[in-house]
Amino acid sequence: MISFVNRYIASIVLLLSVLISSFEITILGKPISNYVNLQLILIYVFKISNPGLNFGKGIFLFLISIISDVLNGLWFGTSGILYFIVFAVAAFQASIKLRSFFISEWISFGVSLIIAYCVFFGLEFLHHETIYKNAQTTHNHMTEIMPLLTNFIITLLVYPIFWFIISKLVSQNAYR
Amino acid sequence: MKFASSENVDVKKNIIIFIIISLILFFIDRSDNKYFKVTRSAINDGIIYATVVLKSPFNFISDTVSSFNNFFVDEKIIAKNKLLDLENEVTKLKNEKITLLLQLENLKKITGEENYKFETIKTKVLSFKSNILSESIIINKGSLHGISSGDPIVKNNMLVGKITDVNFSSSYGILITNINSRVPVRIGEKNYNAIAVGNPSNANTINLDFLPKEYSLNEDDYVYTTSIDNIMPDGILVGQIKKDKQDKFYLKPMYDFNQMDYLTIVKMGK
Repeated sequence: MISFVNRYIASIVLLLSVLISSFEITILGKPISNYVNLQLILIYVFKISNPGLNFGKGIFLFLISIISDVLNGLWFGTSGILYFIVFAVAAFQASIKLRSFFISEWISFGVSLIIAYCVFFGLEFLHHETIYKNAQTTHNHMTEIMPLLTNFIITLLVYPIFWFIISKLVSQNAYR
Repeated sequence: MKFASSENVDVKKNIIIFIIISLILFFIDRSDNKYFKVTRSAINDGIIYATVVLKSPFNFISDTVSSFNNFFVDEKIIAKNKLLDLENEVTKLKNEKITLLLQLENLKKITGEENYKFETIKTKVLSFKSNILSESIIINKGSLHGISSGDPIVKNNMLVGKITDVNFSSSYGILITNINSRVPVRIGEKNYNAIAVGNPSNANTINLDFLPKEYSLNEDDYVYTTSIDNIMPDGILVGQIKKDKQDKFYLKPMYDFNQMDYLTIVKMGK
């Protein structure tokens, strides 16, 4: 049982983070998920700290993304696209490095977040275009940029904490 | 036997395949295909109820921890908290009485008893989820119970949100504070029409769009839903008008969004 948990620790932790994120822990009146995108950090850190880890060749990652879409009320595939963008950047970064170099990993995490958030903004744009195509009200997309920007900055700043915890303590035994 | 490099090639291939599958799923879901909608409803119901079961041990742990903490809290503090709770309850009931009387008068003047011609159904909130851009809830009633997309979610005749997506036996709803929420409202005694829109910069306030060119609002004016195009029933209390530091008017919702255990859905029968 322990060896099973160790082997699939990355997928289990990611699944739990998706499930538990519905317990609202608030900071300054807003839920913590408004500030930090925990799932993207976990995917990146697990892959970087253990390059052999592949989330069941991506199948578990895809299934978890579907669960996340259902629980967040998003269209199917939205989380999947974001998760796989971050996973692809992490896989690329893990394959080109000879040894762990924290700053370059952190910068490439920032790059993966920028790509993921741009895609998310585009998908949200399509979402609103569909919702409001028959409505008489207008929707100002600029109002969505600030929460996304805040989330991006805090997620980037929080990365070192998770990197330290996962790369030093958890990820050594996980290889799936 | 596979070498590490061949496995890496497999994974890279899989990443591309899953991104393509995700994109295909996204566009099929967006196209609102009726066959996919049925499949989606079944998948949603399955995952939602499985999540409720999986989350139950965590709920149990969280409840146990809070009751364990309460056990060690000083009795005086408990008594003080109870007193505060009771005082809050009295204030709340007084407010409710005032608002209900005002609402009743307004309803009599304008729409009679239109508010009560719709059937309602009680539901339990399965999950409250908040991500970067939206606060949404999942409830335990769906199309099998006659709920349809756009139905208002209320509690004690105060508007909480509306249904956005319906599965067979569960549904998604958004709160009125959600930035995607648009509710037609009328304001105060002058009955100005406007659209209440969630405020992304402050979760506990709502902006008012499409107000008349010249308007004069009073602080503490009550805001009700209006039944333009039969989107909402008329006369559900939404909130009160308040002024911010820059003397700008905004709408403060009446409902306390921390109390979301059981809610009522007004079936609009669309």
